[in-house]
Amino acid sequence: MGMMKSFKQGAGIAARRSRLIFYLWLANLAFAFLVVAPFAFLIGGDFSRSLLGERLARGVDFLWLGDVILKYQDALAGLSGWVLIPVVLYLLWSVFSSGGILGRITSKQDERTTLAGFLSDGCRYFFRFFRVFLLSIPVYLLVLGLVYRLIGTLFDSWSKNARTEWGAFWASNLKLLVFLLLFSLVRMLFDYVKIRLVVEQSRKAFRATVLTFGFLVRRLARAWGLYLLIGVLSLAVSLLFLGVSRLLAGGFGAILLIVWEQIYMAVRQGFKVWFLSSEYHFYWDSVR
Amino acid sequence: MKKALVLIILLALGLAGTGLFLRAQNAPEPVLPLRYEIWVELDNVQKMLHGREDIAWRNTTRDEVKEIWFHLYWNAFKNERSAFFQDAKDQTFARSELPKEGEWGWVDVVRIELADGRDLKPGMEFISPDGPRYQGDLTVLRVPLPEPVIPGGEVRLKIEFESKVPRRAARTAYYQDRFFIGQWFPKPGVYEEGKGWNCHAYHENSEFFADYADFAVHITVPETFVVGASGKQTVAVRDEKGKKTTYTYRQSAIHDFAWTADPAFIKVERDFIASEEVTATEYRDLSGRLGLPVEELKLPDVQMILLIAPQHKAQIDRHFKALKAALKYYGLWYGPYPYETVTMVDPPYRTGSGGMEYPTLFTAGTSAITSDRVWSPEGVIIHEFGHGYWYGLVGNNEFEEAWLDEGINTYSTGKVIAKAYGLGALPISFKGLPLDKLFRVPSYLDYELDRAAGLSVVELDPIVTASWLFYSRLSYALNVYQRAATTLNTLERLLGEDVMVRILRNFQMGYRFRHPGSEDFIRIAEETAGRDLGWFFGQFLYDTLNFDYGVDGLRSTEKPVADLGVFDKDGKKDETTPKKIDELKKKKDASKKTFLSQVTIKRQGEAKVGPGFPVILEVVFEDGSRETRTWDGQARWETFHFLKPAKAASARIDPENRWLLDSNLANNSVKAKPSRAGVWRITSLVLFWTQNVLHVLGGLV
Repeated sequence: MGMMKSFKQGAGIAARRSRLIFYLWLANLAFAFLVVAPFAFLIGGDFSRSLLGERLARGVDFLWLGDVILKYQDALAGLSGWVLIPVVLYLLWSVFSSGGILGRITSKQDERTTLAGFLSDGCRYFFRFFRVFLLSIPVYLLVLGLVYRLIGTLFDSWSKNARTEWGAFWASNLKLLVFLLLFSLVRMLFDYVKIRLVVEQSRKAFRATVLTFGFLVRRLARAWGLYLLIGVLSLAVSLLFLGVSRLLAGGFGAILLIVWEQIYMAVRQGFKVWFLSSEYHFYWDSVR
Repeated sequence: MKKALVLIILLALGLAGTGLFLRAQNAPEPVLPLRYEIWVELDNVQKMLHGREDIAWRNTTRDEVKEIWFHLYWNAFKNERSAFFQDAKDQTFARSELPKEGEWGWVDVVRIELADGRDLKPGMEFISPDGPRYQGDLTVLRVPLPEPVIPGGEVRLKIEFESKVPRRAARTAYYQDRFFIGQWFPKPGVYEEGKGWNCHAYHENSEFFADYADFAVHITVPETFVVGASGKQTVAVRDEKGKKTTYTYRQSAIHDFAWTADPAFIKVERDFIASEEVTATEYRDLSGRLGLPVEELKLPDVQMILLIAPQHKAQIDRHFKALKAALKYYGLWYGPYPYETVTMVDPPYRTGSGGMEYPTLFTAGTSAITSDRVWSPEGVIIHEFGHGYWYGLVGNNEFEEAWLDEGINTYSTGKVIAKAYGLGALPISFKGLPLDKLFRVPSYLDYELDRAAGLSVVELDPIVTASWLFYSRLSYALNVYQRAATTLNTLERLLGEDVMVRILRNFQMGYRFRHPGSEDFIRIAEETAGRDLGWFFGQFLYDTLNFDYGVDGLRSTEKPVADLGVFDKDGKKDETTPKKIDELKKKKDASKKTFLSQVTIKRQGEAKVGPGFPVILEVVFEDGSRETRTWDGQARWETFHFLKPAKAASARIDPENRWLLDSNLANNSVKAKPSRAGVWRITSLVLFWTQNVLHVLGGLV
């Protein structure tokens, strides 16, 4: 099974499932709006009738930002409690939507993606994926807490004895890279666990985790290569987004920027689908 | 006769020393109660200093002085009973942040005697002048004298000391074989007539206070070390074995002496040539603004010395450009720089010594990767050089009134950066990488950021508070730096830029080589501005009052063509009814409507505007016309009425944004019709970043 073949097949699915991406984007936007709403109401109440509010349209300006800090420093502490609710709900939604995504990916190619189908798949896999989420917590703790810390001590000792800040700079950034690579391994492992549960229509999350671990150990280079390839592409798209964003500002550019930001968010959802669909094809072709 | 001869020779030497590296200016003659000659050797292996000093202290007061108090600053790092660590523990300081084994620092007085050999050591004792709470502190030493020093008299002391350099302390430290040495020698406090010694313990928040002196310092270091120090290097002598070099530095009229030694330093010297930096037009313009002859404004040339780490070599030009801007604008605005040299030190790596001022020497601070949109290291170079003026030349007491140098200098730094560089991007970086290369980082001028930070602590402490008595370290920092700078920026906007620059120049030139207090600054400000400013400083320096005026309401209604009711007309009762009004309306030209607009201003805070500085209200009407009214602002509220052919579109107080101290600028204006474009723009920005955060969190499951 070729890594590139899975990569292309995954891209094809992501391109065909635009409705799926739309649902994911909309949900992300809605949850974010729940978080932001109190802030928007506060700002609206204080600035929409003030001449100072006109400066907001020009971007970040420290005179009004100063006002925001001074006015809301106490209120923001209170709002953090409110922010937690949509954040927790979003985590649950992510468990749910993983089921919806995988359900749609594994459906027949010519089957139309409907909201009902997406929600139904989300419901079907929610509890088994939730168990996967619970299982992933100790693994994250083990890998990112213990393994990463052990590897990190090497970098720390390099940094501790650095003669110039370059030593500390490289140690710190390479440590971050190690963290991201370890994180990607754990995340990839649990992507494949979910795929296995869907493909085998199984509910045994622990067994699936153990078997998937063995599956990945045997194909680590190709599986990880596939994951990292899409990851690097995702990073490149983010850099492209940032580059274009810098060109857009003020007046009509501000409206274009808002549109561009939302296109980018939709593309990020597309990458989420791309990751899972490529991994699904990789898994399917490997076990077939 | 012999005695007189010695005195004449000493006086001649003293005068020669004063003139050697200090240019004569129009300022009053420096009062120099002290002379130091110090010999110090660095043991770079044991991280020790072995030193001895000859001190001559002259009693310039009318008091008889029976004892001398010394600062032994490095004992702040000797153990956790010091005032420094006790203060730190009151804050968010964790025990894990205490020095590790072998990292503590201290200073021991091994020998202290009069010039005639009489031993003073048996009588010396550590005292805690800042209260019994600090009894374990060893940073202030009291040395009784066998006989008092009479007014005009002098006492000469010989001191031998040994110091352990702390590994990483406030402003002084070593890392591997790099050293930054500040506040390192036993130093007398400041004797104040009628009050006694002003010699506080070394607190976590406070900086320093010392008397002006002539310094001659001989620093011995291993041959490979590159040395930088306060003053001017006059001699460098290598020992017979060629393993050590002794550098001699001399400087007159400074109140502290710091030095650094690092084998890795690159030393670069350049000159500030005033004739190349300042044009004739600039001199002329400033002469007009200050009302001073051009000759009095002329800047001298200055030798600039940079000690920089090799990894920052590419930033050499950047460092010098910033220093030149500082020499130029501080010199033009506040008075010529009086010393021959200025040494700029890129702080030795991991010594925590960056961003600190010493007379004729300062530490900057930069990083390996910089951005050309962020004014770093420029900001710190300009600020720390500026302390050469505010604290260096005007030697205020940083323990008791830190705002006098930190606040004035933060204000001055902002002015120089705005003039020389303009808007700078917010310095945001991640893992050593400046993020402005990736994101559109907001730009700002210093006064905007100062306001945003400084006003958050208005109600915690007055700006004029002893450094260790602030509510918290944050309150100290924000009050004496940002809030004080915002206060001065407000004062500038109220009095005008020219008056403000005259105030600061008068303060600088009037108090060079002296120790002024806040009251002296206020007096100079009032004399220069020619008005009473007591109300201003009383509220904003000495109190914790919130300043907030706002527009509370704006309402426009059409004025009826006639008023309802019964009116006496030609001896008869004439009743105006609604029907009659309708008829009158029909007859009247519709385009000639009149509107009654009503604007209410409220004083939301306790602080008030003062005499001669009323609240200015500007109302803009829908036909484009404007009306301006003033209010003395003493009551809680006032309502203004306008009869105009158009409705009011907006009302705004303080239209020129003079009152940066106003804690709520949003309520300074009200529009008749709300507009949400700005609110949507900001909401969309916050929304977008929230979406990203949620997306990343979602990736965890």
